[in-house]
Amino acid sequence: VIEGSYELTRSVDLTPSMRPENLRRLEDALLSLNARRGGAKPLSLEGGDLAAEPVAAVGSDYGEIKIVPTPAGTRGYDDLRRAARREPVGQGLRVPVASPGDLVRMLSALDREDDALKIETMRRVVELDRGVELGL
Amino acid sequence: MVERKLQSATRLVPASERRLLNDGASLTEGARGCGAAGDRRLVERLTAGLSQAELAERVRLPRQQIVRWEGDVVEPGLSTLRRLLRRRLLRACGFDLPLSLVPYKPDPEREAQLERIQRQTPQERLAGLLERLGGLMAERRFDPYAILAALERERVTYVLIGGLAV
Repeated sequence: VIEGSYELTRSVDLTPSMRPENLRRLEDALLSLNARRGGAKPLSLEGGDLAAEPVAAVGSDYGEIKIVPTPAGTRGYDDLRRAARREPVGQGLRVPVASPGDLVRMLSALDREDDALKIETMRRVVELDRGVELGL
Repeated sequence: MVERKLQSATRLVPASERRLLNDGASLTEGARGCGAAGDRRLVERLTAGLSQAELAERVRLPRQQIVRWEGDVVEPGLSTLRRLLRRRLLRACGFDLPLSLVPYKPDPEREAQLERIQRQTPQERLAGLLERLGGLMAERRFDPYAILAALERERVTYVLIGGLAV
């Protein structure tokens, strides 16, 4: 959405740095949102449990948050941060967003038939984005 | 022989040590965003078990070209990728290059929509999403600003992916 597609989403999906100190900060942020996990799973993000899950879905008072340590086709945060951009999204917030090229890479790696249109759309977003950069 | 060497190198040499195999040249840190990360991974893997000079010799390119790939100054071009494919270097590194022409039907409505969105700022795009979601934000069932503000307040290091980013 932020990068220019017209998807509908009701969750905030993110790839965090998996350093223990950062996971502690993430946990603090989630606690401040009154976050909880489904079933009997504890919210605690430490102890290596998070890395073992492809997607950890967390409910909160402000909507769902999906934590994806290593999105398909990537090597996680350190891979994505290189091309990520901080975008102003309003309310004084500038947030790091994966590049359109990396988003295409993730969708392509998932190899899901349902994503074909999404991938095509994102490829066009990449083209338009490059056109804007080149002043076309 | 080359394949064996590359496979062995990519399997056994950790990324942190691979840099030492590259004549001291930096690989991708500080990339300027020219190449996609997939291209950078290809270059890393290609150079994992070979020096820049060895790789240049195998693909019959000047060593300076390898330096430019690694520095993210240029991406390997299609003809180079095809050359790597012919020499079986691409598959040895765990990549393939399916290339085919497929029918393309332009959808003027979708194209116009994408171009309109592209002219908006990220702020306008997110506001547009929330408008399309209707009353969810009013009911406080989905408030991405609150979630993002909490992440920023706690100085969490992260990258947005998936739905909201796409």
